[in-house]
Parts: sequence; structure tokens; C-alpha cells
Amino acid sequence: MMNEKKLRGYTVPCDYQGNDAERIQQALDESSALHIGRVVLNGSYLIDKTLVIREDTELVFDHATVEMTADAPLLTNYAQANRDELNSYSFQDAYVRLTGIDSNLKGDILLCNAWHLYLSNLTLTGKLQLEYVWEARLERLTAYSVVFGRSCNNIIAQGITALTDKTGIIVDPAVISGCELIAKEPFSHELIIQDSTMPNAAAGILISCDDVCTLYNVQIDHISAKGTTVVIGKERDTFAPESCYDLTAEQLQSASGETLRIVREPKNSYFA
Amino acid sequence: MPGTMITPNLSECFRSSDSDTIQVAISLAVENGSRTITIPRYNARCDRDEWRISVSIKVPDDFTLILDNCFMVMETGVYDNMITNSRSWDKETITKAEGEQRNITVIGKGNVILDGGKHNRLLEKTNRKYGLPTVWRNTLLYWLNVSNLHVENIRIQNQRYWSMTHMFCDHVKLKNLDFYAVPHVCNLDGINLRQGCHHFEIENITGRTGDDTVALTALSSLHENEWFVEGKSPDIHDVKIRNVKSDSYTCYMLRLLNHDGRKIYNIDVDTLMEASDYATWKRRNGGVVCIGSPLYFKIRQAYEGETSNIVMRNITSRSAIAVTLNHTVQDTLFSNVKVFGDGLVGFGTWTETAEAGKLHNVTIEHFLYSPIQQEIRLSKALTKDKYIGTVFDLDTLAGDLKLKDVHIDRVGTAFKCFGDIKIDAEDFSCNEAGRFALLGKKTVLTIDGEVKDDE
Repeated sequence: MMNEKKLRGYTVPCDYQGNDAERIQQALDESSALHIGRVVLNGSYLIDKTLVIREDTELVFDHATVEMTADAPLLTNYAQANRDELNSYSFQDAYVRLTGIDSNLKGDILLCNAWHLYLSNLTLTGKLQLEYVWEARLERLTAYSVVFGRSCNNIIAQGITALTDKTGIIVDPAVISGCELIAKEPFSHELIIQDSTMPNAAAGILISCDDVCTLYNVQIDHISAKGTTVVIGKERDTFAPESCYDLTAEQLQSASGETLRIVREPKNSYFA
Repeated sequence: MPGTMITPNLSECFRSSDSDTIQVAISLAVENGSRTITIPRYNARCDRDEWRISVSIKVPDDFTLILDNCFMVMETGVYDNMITNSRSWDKETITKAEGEQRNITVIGKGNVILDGGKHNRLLEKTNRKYGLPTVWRNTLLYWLNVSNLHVENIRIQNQRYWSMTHMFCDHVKLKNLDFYAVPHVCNLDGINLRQGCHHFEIENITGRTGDDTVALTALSSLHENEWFVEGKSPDIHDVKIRNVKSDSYTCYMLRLLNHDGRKIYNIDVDTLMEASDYATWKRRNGGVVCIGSPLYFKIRQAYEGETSNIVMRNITSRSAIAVTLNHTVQDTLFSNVKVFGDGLVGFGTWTETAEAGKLHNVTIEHFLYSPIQQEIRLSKALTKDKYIGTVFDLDTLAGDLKLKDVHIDRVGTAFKCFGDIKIDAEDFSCNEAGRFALLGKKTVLTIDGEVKDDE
């Protein structure tokens, strides 16, 4: 059976016993244990417990609907699920991929302490939040909103559709949902956000930080929003220009006509 | 076996090595007409999760190679490419225009890693010496005379030499490629376009390379002359590059170089974002862009007009030099260039080439120079009399240069220009400079803007 799964190249929940959450989790765990590296979900699943994906795993939602019924994230990664214990550099999850094919995920996804993330073609009725994430690529992703929180570095996000009527994408290294991680700098930098739309959002992209959790080297282009396309700073922000610098925003469109609002002035930045 | 998905895990493919097994799978896929094989993670012949490549995988025309969540590593002690077009080393056919190969696709699905494995000491300095073959055998993916090539979603690590090399290739799409090199030897480039490459789309290139991340080099080296494709132009042109975000170690994120009559033109670049680990390494990256070089020519350096029609937008740099201009550059625009952090020089040149260098119709617009002025090893702030860096270190570069919307915060010297060059700056400001300008007798600098602390 082990060789059959390895030859097949993926595990599926129907190989296992239990409720939907248990079967999916067993598929994820065995994929990791056998170094198969892929789990495929097909069909409808109701889950009451957060799914935990480990490193070197691709979770494929193939014509699948997965709905979280409890007040918890739908999916997280192993390092995040064990954040209080595994909060140092050596426990980061590498090569985590989420791939969708005509699927719908009803719930939030929170990924933290991860390296080489790849999320593509996902439809998420919920929020995607990333913290302490390095080398991530997001492609063709529909979500309620997307949050790049504490220490998000080296990220390319293309083709994001954020359906919220508030703020579509938040880039703010001051945002954190759990404990800080040891030996990790709190800054966010080298982010590229392109070719994205927020059809209902009052603010398309919000850029913010503070004087400890600084932000630099951000490229934003080809973005459209219903309200203001890009907002730099919040009313209560106090960050110095030196804490938020090297921003570029261009090719912005807004149905309201306001493509850029600068609440706090960044340094060394270019807007067109 | 019509309709069967061909993988090297079919028992009829099994041979004595992984390379031969994969090659037999390719032959079967050609025979059954599917012209597609999938290399999965699990290697059933050896009951392991890796594929060890001892002889290059040769991909025929009209063929799709799917790398499915797999790890492929070069076998220790071999000298060959990992993946190449099937006739790339068949000199009789591939060096003729009619020998062109077409429609090759290499797609990664899931987590795909191609690994150079242990280095074999075949380097440029040992090229064709001591019984070794040409160093071009060490480039992991090697494509010669291929039209309509598509490579996507692959991570390449521990490359032995240039990771991906293209010569006389056209209509090529390279997307979502990530590199990780430990630079223990030289020339661990990412993507190389050599002579005769045109109509390329390159997008989302990331990671760390031990040399240039993306290099467009139209040269006439021994190998290139031996494998010149008759009837094809050696020029490089019509290349679009979007999103290169990398650490290129001591070299460049993007290199453009042409000599010996070969041209480079119609180059459109959007977003070069330096991602060097400078804070840890306490050293600056070599640079973000380098055009030209005093080296590597056999007959002559490029003449005026042979490097032209270049647009580069959205460049961020904390390198030693953001943009290096070494020889004739014509009809070129740099827009939105930012120098920050420990960045040193904005636009510079290599002194050795300066006499050959001439700019014509070159514009730099929306340029922000704002390094933090600190001693890089000690992270200690510098006083104004010790400010370092030069915004325009053009030495004896000649020609004409337009500057629009250029703003300098703090710098050691704003202009060091000694050549026969006319620089017109509008919407210009300089906040603090240790010394504003060092100019030669033939240099003409016209400023429309605000300069503080001009000494």
C-alpha cells in the first residue's frame, strides 16, 4: 500500500477513516511521513478542526469545497500550529504549496514561519494572512482580504482579487496574530503586488508600519479598486519617513477617482 | 500504448541508470504519439525519491516534459547537461537554420528542484583542459537553436555553472524560476541568453545566484563560433523582463553585453528589485544593471548604436553600483531608480572602458538617491565630511545625458564626470553633498533645480 501511494504520487482522504477533518489530516500527515509531497482533495468536506500542512507538501484542491464550521482557521502550517513551541529559525516550514482547480475554501488561512510558499488559483471565502514568511508567490487568488503581516519578505503577488468592502490587501509588519518569533527581524521588505483588483473595497491596498516593524522596497502596479487604490498610513500611525521607504505605486485605477492617499509620508518613494 | 501516461516508472522503461530510463520513456512517448512524459517524485526502479542524472535528458521537438513534484540531481563525477534539446550536441544538424528544433516545454508541477549536486571542478579556468570537456557541458539546462521553448515553475540549486543557457533560441517563455547557489566557485549564473536569442519573455525570477542572475550576452567565444547557426543573426533583441528579485552576490542582477559586431536592442525591463542579504554579509552586491564591459571581446568593442532601444523601469538598489554603463548606449530610458540602504554609486562606469563609452539619447528620470550613509561593517553613521558614494560616477564617458526628476539626499560626491559629456538636469535637487561636482574641462553640466551646500 505504501508503494502504491508513492507510485500514485499523492494521498487522498478516502484512504483513511474518520470525519472529514480527520481524514484530510491523516492524508496530510502520511504524505509528509512517506515523503510523497502531495495531497489531493476532491469533493465536499465539512471540517471542524484546523487542517495543518507540513513542509514539502502541495495540497491540491481539485474541484473541492472545504468549509470550516468552527471558529478557527481552515488551514495553517505546522510551524504556526505549534508557534509557541517552535518559534525559532530552525523550525520554519519550507516548500508549502496550495493549488486550486475550480475549488472553494470557506474559512481563513493563516501561514506563519514558512519559507518558499506558493499559492495559486485559490478561491477563499475568508482571509489569507501571512506572517514571518519568506519567498512567497501568490498567483490568481481570490479572497475576502489578504494581510501581509509581520516580517513578510521576498514576495510576489499577482492576480489577487479581494472581495471585501473595506481594505483589500493590508501590508503592515506591525500586524501579528500570535507570539513573536525568536531571532527573526520584524521588518517586511521586497514585496511586489501586481495585476490585482479590489472591486468592492473602500481601500485597495493599505501600506502601514511602525518605527520598529519597518517596511521598505515595495512595488505596487496595475491595481484597481472601487475606492482609493493605495493608502499610505493610517490616521493613528506615527511612523517616521525613515521607517517606511522605497515604495513604488503606479498604473493605479480607482472607480472613485482617488488612486492614492498619503496619510503618512514615506521616504524615497515614487508614485505615478 | 495509446492513451497511456508515460512515466519512467513503467517497467518497460527500466534501464541501468535513471537517465537511460527517462530517455526510454521519452522514446515511448514519441512512439505512442502523446509526446509528453511525467517525471514523478518517486523513482520506482530504485525505490527512492530522487532521480540521478548521469547523461543529459534529451528532449525532442514538439515535446512536453512535466516535472511533477520531483527532485533531480546531477550524478557525482559526470560532465553533462541535465536537460537539453535532443540535437544540441549534434553539430552537423543543429548548426544549420533548417536544423532548428521547435515546441519544447518543460513545466514544473508542485515542488520541483533541479540540483547540480557535487561540483565536478569543470570551470571556465579548466575548460577543455586536463582532459575535461567544454564548460558548456556544465550548464544544467542547455538550449541551442530552439524555437518556441517554455520553461516554468522550477527551482534550481547548487548549479555547477550557468543554470540555464540559450543560444540561437527564439519565442521563449521563462517564468517562475528560483535559484539558490552557494558561490563556492565562479560563474554560478541564473539565466543566460547568448548570441542569436530573440523574442523572450522572462518573468518572476528570484533567489540567489553566484554570478549574474539574468545575462544577455552576445559574444563570439570559441564555443559560440564553433556552434554558430548558419543563416541566423547573432543579435539579441526583443526581450521582455518583468520582476527579477534576487541576490546576485558580487555580480549583477541583469547584464547586457555585446561585442564584435553583435547587437542588443529592444529590451524592455520592468522591476528589478535587489534582495541581497547585505545586512548579514556586510558587503554590497555587485550591482543591479551592467551594460557593456571592457572584457570578453575578440575583435572590437561595441560601436555606437549597437546597444539601443532599452527601457528599464522600477529599479531598487543597495549595491555597489545601481547601473553601470560601460560602452555605447543609445535611445535608452531608465525610469524610477532608487538607491537606498548601503547603496554606493547610482550610475557609474568602469574606468578602463570609459574612452570607448558614449551615450546618445539616454534619459534618467525619477531617480531617488538616498542611502543611509553609514560605515557598512560597523553600522556607524557618517558625518558629512565623511559621506561616501557618488550619484553619477561617469569618469570619461562621453555623449549626452538627460536627467529629469532627480533627487539626492546625502552623498559624498554628486557628479564625477570628466568626459566630453553634456548633462542636462531638470527638476533636480541635492540636499547634502560632501562635494557637489568634480567636472572635466569638456564636461557641461546644466542644472535646473535646487542644490544645497554647494561647495
